[in-house]
Amino acid sequence: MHSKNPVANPIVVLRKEFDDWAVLFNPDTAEAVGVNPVGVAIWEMLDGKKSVEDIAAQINRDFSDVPGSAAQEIETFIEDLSKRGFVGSQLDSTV
Amino acid sequence: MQESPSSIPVMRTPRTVDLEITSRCNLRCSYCYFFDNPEVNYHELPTGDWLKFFDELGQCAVMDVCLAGGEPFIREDLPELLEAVVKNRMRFSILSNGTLIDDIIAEFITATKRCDSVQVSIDGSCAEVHETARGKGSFHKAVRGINILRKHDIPVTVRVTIHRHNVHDLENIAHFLLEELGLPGFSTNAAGYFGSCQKNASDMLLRVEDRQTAMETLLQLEKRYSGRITAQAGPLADAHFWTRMEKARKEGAPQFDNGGNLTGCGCPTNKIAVRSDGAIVPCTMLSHMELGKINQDSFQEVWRKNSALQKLRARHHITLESFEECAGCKYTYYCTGNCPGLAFTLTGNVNQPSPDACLQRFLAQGGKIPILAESA
Repeated sequence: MHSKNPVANPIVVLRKEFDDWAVLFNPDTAEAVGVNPVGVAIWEMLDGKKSVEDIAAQINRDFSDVPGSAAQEIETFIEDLSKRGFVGSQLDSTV
Repeated sequence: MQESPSSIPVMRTPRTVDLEITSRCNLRCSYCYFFDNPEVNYHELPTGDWLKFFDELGQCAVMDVCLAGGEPFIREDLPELLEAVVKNRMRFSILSNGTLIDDIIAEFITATKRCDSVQVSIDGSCAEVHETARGKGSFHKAVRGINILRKHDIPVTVRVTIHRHNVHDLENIAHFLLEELGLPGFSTNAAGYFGSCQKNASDMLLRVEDRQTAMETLLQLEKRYSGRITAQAGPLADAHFWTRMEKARKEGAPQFDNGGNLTGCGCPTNKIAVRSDGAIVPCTMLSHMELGKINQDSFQEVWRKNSALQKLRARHHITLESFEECAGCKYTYYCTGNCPGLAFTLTGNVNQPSPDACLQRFLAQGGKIPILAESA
């Protein structure tokens, strides 16, 4: 089975500006996206080895008061980053 | 979040770093802020020192660097330095006199895809005016530099520094830059009491009447060339801010959010600078204030913990009313004290309001706020 796990574009810089605010910055395009601590945690899990479901499960474990819609929101967040070229897909050939 | 003593939120690392990558320049402009500063060691770092430092900036997730000097294009290793900027996932801009730009370096810059802008100084509509402050032969070379940059699709910005010898050429300058060259816009400033300009002050600095002329002319040009002439400092910026202050005073408006204290500079919370000799300083306009040395001191430690920098950030707690010269001023609630660099060179104390930006002083010397004067 082949699954496409999201992977962070290595050119994108995660800039943790404050405790509650970070910026993802693509120096090739100058595009920047502001992210909160959950967004930072998601970004740091985009290693190509974890699926979106894995990431959602980890967020549920690591953060309190995670809403029921979190999995969908995480998927949307990653899709948005993907459209911006901040995230690509890692082909995973594990069965 | 790192809190400064002043409780202004301070980023974990600066977003932007201004780098004076060279202490050399092929010109000697009469109002240059960089040269003739007795507190600066005009020593230049070798390539390897900058490359090592760029690695540290990359680790600190700095987003962009502004390369200045001296004249950055005088460095033979500029391509190598730019490659290191790119490798460390940063973008860059360059401040230049434009005269040393050729197709080879322009092509290189384009290929990096990381250049936000190259700013070229143009101070006159013709060689005769431009070269009064910048030296013989510099005008056509600078214009050639602009044309080369544009040919290679590099974003070019032009800065016009206003001084006593070009203040009556502003209309021609705007026509030349915006209509003849067809640039999208340009920014303006004025010669300030720094560096070489200190010894040439009587020849360069705008007098009250020159300032008045500059403000009135620039406001008219701003109207004519809608949105294409900008300023963060100098006569056009003063005209806007002083007009706002006067309107607030007349209407008895409440104190401005940033008014009444020395809040005129927010730079120490998001940017910092490095001199050509590697000294870390808060700003190129505060080049006497050494905070540390690159590759010797941790850049992040300097940014977060240096006591002089923290004191500079706390400057905004100082009330204008505490200054004798501000006592009784009707604009105090709307004033910010402006640039700490100019405050230092003009008064010897960074924790003073800048006399150069004082509206009360300008009016007392016979100046008028132009928009109001026009409608009177």
